[in-house]
Amino acid sequence: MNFVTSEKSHEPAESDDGPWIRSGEAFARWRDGDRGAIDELVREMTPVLWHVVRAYRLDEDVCEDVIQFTWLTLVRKADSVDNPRAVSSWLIITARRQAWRVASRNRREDAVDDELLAPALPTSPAAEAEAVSADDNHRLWSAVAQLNERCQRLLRVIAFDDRPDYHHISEDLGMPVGSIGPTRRRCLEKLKAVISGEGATP
Amino acid sequence: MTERDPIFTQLRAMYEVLDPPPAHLTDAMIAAVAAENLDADYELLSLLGRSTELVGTRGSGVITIEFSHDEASVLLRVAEVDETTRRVDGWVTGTGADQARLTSGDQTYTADVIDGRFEFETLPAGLIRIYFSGDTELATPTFEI
Repeated sequence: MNFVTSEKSHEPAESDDGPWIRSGEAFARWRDGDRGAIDELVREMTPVLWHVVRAYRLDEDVCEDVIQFTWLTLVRKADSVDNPRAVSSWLIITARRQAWRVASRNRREDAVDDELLAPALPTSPAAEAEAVSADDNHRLWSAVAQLNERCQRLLRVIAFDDRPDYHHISEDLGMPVGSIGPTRRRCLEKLKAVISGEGATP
Repeated sequence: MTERDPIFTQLRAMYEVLDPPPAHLTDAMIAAVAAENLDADYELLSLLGRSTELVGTRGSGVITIEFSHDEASVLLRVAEVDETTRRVDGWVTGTGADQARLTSGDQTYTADVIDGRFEFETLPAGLIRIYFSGDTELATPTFEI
């Protein structure tokens, strides 16, 4: 069975607004003086920021620093977030821009060893119990690895950002904003083509 | 918004399993946010990268760490004295810094910056942060030596 066209709906919709709303509420409470509320926001958004930053092919230390930069910038400039409910987008944009800046400065060196990006094996029973099997994940990983760097980045960022801001993404990728939609579509088509090429094997 | 292609859900699940955030990451970020002194006024330096000068496992040999902010740049050379002790030699340019203050846990160490050079001869291994005072106040993020 080709897992891409599978109709199994074994997971809740990822575009669930829950995390976005929870983040906005936690941030609003923190700004109103509830000091502990920021921890909830950090817990909710740090894993998302990891994936967004990692899309820029930075190694672990640097990703961690970019994420730390993002959080410290938020607490220092909390007033610059106009609408608390937009805090998730604010965090993602800030992290992406910082990742982009660091990646550009590091371009003179090789960004990262392939080894560092090699997939780790699932380490916990919880991970193994993922609805999507490990096999499918490894096949998908290999398929993505055959796309160009821009496609890989775009797809990973969009996968973790339910409300991608094309205006900022276009700046970061050096593309006109109007071409993001078509590029996203082309990247998806390429990915599916690679997968269906492999799909012949059971 | 237009409907998302279901493959994004699969991509997300795939990355969550195959390239997850380091286990300590969220706790480290909570600690960094909690430790932030909102009264201190400084610009945050960004980590550009670290490289190991000698081949070996992480933590052995000499590590070079580079930070920058606008025109300012900081280069650190961290040598392993023994398992729990580090020596830091640093160079800072573009800020007119005359003093470096380093925090490690509850401890604070200071060093004069002379011609852009400073050194901390004996430091405990672990998480540190360095502040520079001069024309502008600068601070590194928290990082490990």
